[in-house]
Amino acid sequence: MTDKKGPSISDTLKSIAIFVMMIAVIIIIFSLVEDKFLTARNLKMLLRHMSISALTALGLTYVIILGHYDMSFYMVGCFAAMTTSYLNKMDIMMDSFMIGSIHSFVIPAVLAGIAVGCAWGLISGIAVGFLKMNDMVTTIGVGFIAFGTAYLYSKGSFIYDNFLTSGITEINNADWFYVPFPIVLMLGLYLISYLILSRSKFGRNFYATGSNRIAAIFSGVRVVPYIIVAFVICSGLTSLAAIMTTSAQGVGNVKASINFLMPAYAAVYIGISVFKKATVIGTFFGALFTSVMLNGFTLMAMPFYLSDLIIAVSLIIAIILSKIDWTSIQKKNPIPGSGSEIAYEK
Amino acid sequence: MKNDTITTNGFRLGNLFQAQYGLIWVALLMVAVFAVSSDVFRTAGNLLEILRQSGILAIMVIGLTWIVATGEIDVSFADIAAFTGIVTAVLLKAGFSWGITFIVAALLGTVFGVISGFLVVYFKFPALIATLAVSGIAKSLASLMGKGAVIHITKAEGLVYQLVYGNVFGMPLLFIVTLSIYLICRYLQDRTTAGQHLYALGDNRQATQEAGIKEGKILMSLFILSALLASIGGILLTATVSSGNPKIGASYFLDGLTVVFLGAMIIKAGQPNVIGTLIGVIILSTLGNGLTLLGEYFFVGNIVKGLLLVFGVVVVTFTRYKKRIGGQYSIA
Repeated sequence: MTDKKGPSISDTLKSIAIFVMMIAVIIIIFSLVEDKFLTARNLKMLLRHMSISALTALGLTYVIILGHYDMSFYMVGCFAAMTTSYLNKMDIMMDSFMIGSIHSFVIPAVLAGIAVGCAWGLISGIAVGFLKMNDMVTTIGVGFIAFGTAYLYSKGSFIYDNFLTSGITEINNADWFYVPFPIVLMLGLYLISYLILSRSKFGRNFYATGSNRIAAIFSGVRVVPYIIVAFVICSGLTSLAAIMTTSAQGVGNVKASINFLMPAYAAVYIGISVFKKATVIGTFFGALFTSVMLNGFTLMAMPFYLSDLIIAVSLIIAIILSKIDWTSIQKKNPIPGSGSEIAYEK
Repeated sequence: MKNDTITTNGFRLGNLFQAQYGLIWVALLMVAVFAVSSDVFRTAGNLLEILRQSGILAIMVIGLTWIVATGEIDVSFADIAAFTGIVTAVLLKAGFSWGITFIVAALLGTVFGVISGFLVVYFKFPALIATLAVSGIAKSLASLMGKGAVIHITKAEGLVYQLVYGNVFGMPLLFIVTLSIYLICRYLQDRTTAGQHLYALGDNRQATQEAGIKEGKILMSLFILSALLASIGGILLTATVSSGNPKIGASYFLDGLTVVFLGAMIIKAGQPNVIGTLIGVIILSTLGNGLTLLGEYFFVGNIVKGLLLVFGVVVVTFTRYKKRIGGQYSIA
């Protein structure tokens, strides 16, 4: 019961409390400065914006838990978004019918987009897990190929066709019981991921593989499938996020998810800075944290090109604060997935 | 590490058919294809232009090469270059001379290296995260200075003009300078203790700590060096294109990482080294130039670059398996 190494509930609650306090302070500051901040409309917008970076970060969490890096996901997302836009334009079903307010061909288009995204992840996963190729180089290479092939659909130009009529924008606009669909999707996927990673044997094997691969192998964990699955999930969720961005923009853009790299890593590592390891809840709060910051500063008329500055500075401050020895008893631990750990793993 | 290619200087013709030279053969094949299919490509003027174009990227990525050799990563170099490019443009527009501009911009760019080094060495940030954050800051500040727009300047004059456009004995001066820098770096890397420490750090971090090698000092100086060289690259870039562009980092970011990883597959089979990087830069410039001359879309270049990278990793990984060194192949 008092096992210090195990993830006890009280530790998690303490970390959540730290996060809630941090975010509450920021929210109070913003609501004092800007009247419009604490309105239902703005909070809805905040969460809707958050859902995209949060889904990307959720996928990345799986890879980071394993101690790997993925540098391809944001380029894979571009490919997936273009695939969906292209299929949406082509209207692949002969006799399309309406499901609610959307055409029937939209659903296979979206699913196909996520599937091709997963396929790129599968390639990275097999290369890194099965062939033991270096993760950083392989994923950059795979990402390059994915991003290059994304241009093939339209030679780099926007795809407008069918966007306003097919109902693909409903992915972003639809409401489920007054809650926007992206938010429902995000919360649902986070809940599933939490149950998988923190409350199942499958998830414990993930953490075992990440913290000590050799020990995991000798304990009978087949690490290769876990690595492949992690890369597939990462690419798949990014593809979903990229498709949601596309549907929000209302146009098939080859650079749909090209800016996802920084927010995703920031969300995961802000989560790690509080939880001391990559967790689903940590990533969620990390994404919430960055989104609140961005939303607040945007309301205060901050130019769009400063958003990276905001994310970067919050990331640095969060990690530095977590490194300061508050209790002076706790020994400084390197962040999981840091370079030094990877260097030891062979 | 029993890999004899690290220290031996002996060069045998038979070695050329080993896997670590595979990429050179691919490159030669590529040049041959371009030369056959394009009249313009095979002119001497175009080939020299390729060398000139390689100069800037080559200077930018020396520091990155060594950082990757120690097993860390630096993704901020491209945005630091964009930042110094903008600073250069702003200062020149304000009427400062090239000399002062050069020094101020290089110093400001180096500050980012100090920040990354500090975060990695003292706060134990993973290098990817630290440099990602720093690159975000550099990118934003670059945009802030020009309100997100490109800043145009008048064409460079005097010494700087000679440096970026001039020729010496028919060779581009920029390439000669780059080549000399690379030869010096080759000496530092392979003939000095510090150079050996780099690879020791990349090979076995624990062993280097126990051997008393000052890991922090090396990493700190590498991040500063990388930022300084990236800054110089950014300044030269602004001089070449007569404008400062805050978004130029995106295109150099992946190219820079690609050349370092491609270079790692040449000569030292799996370890980044400066000569490999230089060859990588020339391969990439040739590729870009040849594809443009053939009238291909630029994204074909991205696909080919990706394929080259994956091909390179596959070759290195499987040679390592054959040598029974096994395990994960050792860069980054």
